[in-house]
Amino acid sequence: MPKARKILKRVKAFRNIRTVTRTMEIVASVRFRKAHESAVATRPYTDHLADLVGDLLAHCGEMELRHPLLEEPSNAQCDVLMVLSSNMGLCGPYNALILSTAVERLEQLQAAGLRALLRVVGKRGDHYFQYRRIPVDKAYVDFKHAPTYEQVSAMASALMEDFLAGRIGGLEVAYTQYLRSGQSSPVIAQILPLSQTPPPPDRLGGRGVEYEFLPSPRELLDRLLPAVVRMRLYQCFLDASVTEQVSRIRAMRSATENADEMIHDLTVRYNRARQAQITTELAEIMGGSAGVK
Amino acid sequence: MATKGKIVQVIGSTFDAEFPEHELPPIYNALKVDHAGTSVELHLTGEVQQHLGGGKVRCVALGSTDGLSRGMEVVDTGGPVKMPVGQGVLGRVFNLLGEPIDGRGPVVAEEYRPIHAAPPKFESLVPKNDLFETGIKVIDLLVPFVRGGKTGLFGGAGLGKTVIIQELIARIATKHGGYSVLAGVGERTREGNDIWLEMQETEIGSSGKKVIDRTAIVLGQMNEPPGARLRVALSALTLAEYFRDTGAETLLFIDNIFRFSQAGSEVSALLGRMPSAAGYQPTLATEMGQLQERITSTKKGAITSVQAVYVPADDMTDPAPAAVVTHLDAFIVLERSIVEKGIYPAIDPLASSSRILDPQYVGAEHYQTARRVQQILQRYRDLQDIIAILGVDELSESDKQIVHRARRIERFLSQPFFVTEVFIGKSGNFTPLAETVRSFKEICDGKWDHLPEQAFMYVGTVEDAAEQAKRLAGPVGETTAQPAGAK
Repeated sequence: MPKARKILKRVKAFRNIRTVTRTMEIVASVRFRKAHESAVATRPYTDHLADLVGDLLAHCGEMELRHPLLEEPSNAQCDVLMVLSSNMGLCGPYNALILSTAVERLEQLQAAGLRALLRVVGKRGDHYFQYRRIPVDKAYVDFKHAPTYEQVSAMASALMEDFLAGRIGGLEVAYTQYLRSGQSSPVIAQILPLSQTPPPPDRLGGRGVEYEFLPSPRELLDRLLPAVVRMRLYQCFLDASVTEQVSRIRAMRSATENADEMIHDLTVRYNRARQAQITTELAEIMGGSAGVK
Repeated sequence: MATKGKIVQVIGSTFDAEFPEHELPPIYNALKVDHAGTSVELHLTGEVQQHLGGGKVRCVALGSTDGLSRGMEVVDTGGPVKMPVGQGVLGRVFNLLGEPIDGRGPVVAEEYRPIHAAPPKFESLVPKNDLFETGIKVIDLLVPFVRGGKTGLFGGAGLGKTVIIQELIARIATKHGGYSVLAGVGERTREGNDIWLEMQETEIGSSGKKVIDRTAIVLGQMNEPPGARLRVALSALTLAEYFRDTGAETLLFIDNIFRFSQAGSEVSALLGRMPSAAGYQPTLATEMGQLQERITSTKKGAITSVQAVYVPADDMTDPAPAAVVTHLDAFIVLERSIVEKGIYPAIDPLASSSRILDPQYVGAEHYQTARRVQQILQRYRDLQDIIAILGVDELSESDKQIVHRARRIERFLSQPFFVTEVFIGKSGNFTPLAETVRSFKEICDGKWDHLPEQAFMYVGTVEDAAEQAKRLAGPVGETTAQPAGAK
């Protein structure tokens, strides 16, 4: 029964696929927990640092303190758009969404007459831009699941150096933001020039604090602001990593369900084909014997 | 003169007759029963199938055996059933015995020919490799018809075989210079009637002549006993053969050749043959071969035939449709999953094939375009399982593009028909072959990727699709013109 056997073969193939997707779902949920922990653990630090620096700057306003990281260099030729995609696939629409957001932004920038250098994180993004023939300035693919803090920090240092030297006029990051409800949305965040809004007054103990600077405000900002840039960038990476895993869990779960459905359908078809085969054979044997009599 | 015998046994649609031992009618001879008794009046023709020994012959009844009884007198007509042939049959409707059933009086025939004949001689055959343009995109591109060749339309129940046959009659017969013969084998009588009425109204080109004036119809529909359905195709073929032998280009439409095999299987067991695979008669391939070998073009003239083939339970490996396949030049398969998408004609672009889809007959460009279309659709089919489980997002960029184009090509293979104008509300469309090839080539090249899928449904050339896209976008465009994010 060639037809029935063919169906059976497909059922087996789907069973194997199901095993893989189910395993990937479990692995992804473990990774999600880890990524989520570190993202949540870092967030208070990042937020507080941002608030602190924001408040500081608000107070420095009267001193007419200016820092190169806060201002766009006048002679810069182009901006940098950094896109955070994943190295691995099988995570549903995660990459497609962030990449289309990035392309949209790229087109906006081009329409505004700005040149943007594309820095891509993750093989998926790299392949996508190569396929669409959009020139990529630099691709970071040398990591397994997500870049470590050291790697991000090195990226940030290099970018800041370029920024301070006036080679680039700004840094925007396209990444997928993780919202607390388990939702996520692709966003574009501006990292450089650093814009600091003073925090709402109730966050830092309610009232404005008088600061005394030691060493000088200038020196202090020289150390603080790069740290803020690093942390901001790192937070983007952490968010991206969490949403990637969330996406993967969802994609794999629905893949497993789809495979279950297919297996069920095919099993029914197999049983039918088998039964039909048996009935035909019986009918033939009976007809044959009747013919002989 | 005429030998007389007696009926000795009646089994369903077969009967046995006894003749004097040395005057047995030969196989295939027609026997007549004309009985005018007090209670029953019976006129029946039978065909000798077997000699049983003891002066008995076994016959297939070519009409209903109701009222037939043992002892009735049977007369040997001295030859097989004969069909009237010649110019006089044009415009008429016959049953398988050559009797007109259109109520227009007797037929003026030049000649009567037996329905059983040998196929044309080996040396008189001519190979035919010319493309026969139908104006149906999917057929012209992927399954080009052969002028003077044979085409089969395979499909399960309700996939539109008869509609395609009717459409082809509307397209070809109205432009064709020669004669047409239509055989209704075991299908609905209503359909035969529809075609007959339509032919009386439609003109051939602008000649002022009606299609029916150049057509003969032979019907043995599903209400007839198996013997009639078994022989009606031969009767129609006899008419077509005559026209061919006079040198005319002849079209032969048969709807539905499967019923011929089916009728054969119905009488086979009654004739005492042991059933073979899937309950069919053991002589299935022989019977089909004898019929099909006669439908062929010779040095004198050509027969272009289109045959509908019912596929039981959508199973192409069923012995009956499988027996037809080998005889064909072009081979069109209708597919249920395409019908379910609402795409008509539901021709399966991957399972269908034609002998002349070859660069040396259709030209390199046509051939390459057809192959590219098939490659894209094949890849799309291969990806179906992956899409079903993982979703489109997991495909690589190049596969996504293939899916994107395949979905457009799939829809572009649909086309409005002349005979279905009233149903879909679009007038029929004839797309010239060159336009068809160009349109598909451009879609494969990605020139029309920007059009929405819906735009490709039921249009002619790809420019029509672009126009339809504009119409589709028209009313919707105003609502989407609001600024994004204004919620």
